[in-house]
Amino acid sequence: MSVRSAVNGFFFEPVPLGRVAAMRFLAGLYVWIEWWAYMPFIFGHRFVPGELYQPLFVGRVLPLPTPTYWLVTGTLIVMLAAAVPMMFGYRPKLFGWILFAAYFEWMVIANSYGKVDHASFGFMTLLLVLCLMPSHAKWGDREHLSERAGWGFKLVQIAVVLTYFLSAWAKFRYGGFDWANSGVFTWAIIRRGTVFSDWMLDFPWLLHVAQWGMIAFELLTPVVLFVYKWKRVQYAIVAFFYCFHLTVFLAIGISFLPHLVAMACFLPLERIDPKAILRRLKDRRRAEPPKAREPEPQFDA
Amino acid sequence: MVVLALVTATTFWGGDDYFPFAPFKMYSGSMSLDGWAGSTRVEAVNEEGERFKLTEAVTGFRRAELEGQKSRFIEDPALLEYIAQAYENANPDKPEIVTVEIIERRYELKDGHQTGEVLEVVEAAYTRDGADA
Repeated sequence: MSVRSAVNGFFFEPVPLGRVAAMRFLAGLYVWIEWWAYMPFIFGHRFVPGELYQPLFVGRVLPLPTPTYWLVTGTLIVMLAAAVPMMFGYRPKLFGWILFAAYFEWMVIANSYGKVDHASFGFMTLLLVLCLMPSHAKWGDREHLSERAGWGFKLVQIAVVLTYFLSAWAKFRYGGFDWANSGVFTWAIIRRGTVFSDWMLDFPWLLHVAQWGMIAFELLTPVVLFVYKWKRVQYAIVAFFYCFHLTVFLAIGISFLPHLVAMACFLPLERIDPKAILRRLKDRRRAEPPKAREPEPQFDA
Repeated sequence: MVVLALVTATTFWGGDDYFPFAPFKMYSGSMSLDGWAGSTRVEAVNEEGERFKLTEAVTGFRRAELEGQKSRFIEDPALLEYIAQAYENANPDKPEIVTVEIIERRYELKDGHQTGEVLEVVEAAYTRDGADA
């Protein structure tokens, strides 16, 4: 196998269109959940005076306006309105672009007050590539394969992996190579500990080991991309990632939800077909004898 | 490809400013095992003399954002007025705020263990003109 075909095989690994429909749904669902359940502070920024707005580079280059009550509220409305048709596959490209633009502004509003988050990089990549994928994607479609969809999801997967891998780099850059020997987890738990993690403060060596584990984990994450031919191994690694985030969530209450949504594109979501599931449920209900009225089973359903 | 190139480049040279391309530096700072680990909060006193915490839930302004701009607030405590405004915009029916304070609670660490020593430091305070709180 030549290098060229190996590279093409990696980037353009065909993916069933069913996954595109499923990811569009998940992305829209997340947008609907985020603003009230996950990051209510973004909507809360509508009350914050413009004097505390610290525009980012994009906000200065694009001359984005200083957020006001109605700018924040309007962005939210556009975002939620565009998410619905995209979720259900109606003109998903058109509404996908509107959603992407609105979500971008939403993220500018979120990150321009003195703190920049990094959990949504993969998700923003996902919103962008979903706009570039075929519009006729249907739930449960495992037959029609698309290299374009495969390429898009590969970019999202790379973005997800880079979020880990480059954060190891950031630790070296900002924390120095001593990061793993420092008291950073102690500090994190003092600030945001939970019943699941507060006890660990009494065992600093455990946190010390965990810090080394974290660096090793982040540096090793690219492996998940290279095992793409062995799907079971890949799914197992992705399952491990989800468990990792569950642990972090229990320990310090940070869940990286948008990142988790973007990561779902590793999984064979095309196997889920809500219509077929509904049909099966209905069939089963029909096949089951209504006990009170008809004692004999019916097989004609 | 451009996206990937940008995110990689800004990881090396950029800062938070270049969002969405920026270093993923959450909790990337090293924390000393000996010294003080701080946890910041904002407290307010309202017209009726009640003291309470100004959390993200009541102002829309996050703790991490406060910490990101903390040097500004320490340099010019009058800026704390805007946090009070955020609270009043969000809670128009509640009594108005007269005083806002940034308080840091510092826990002493030795070899990564908490010594039990805790300090509370008021890092910046602002009281509205005409109020005697």
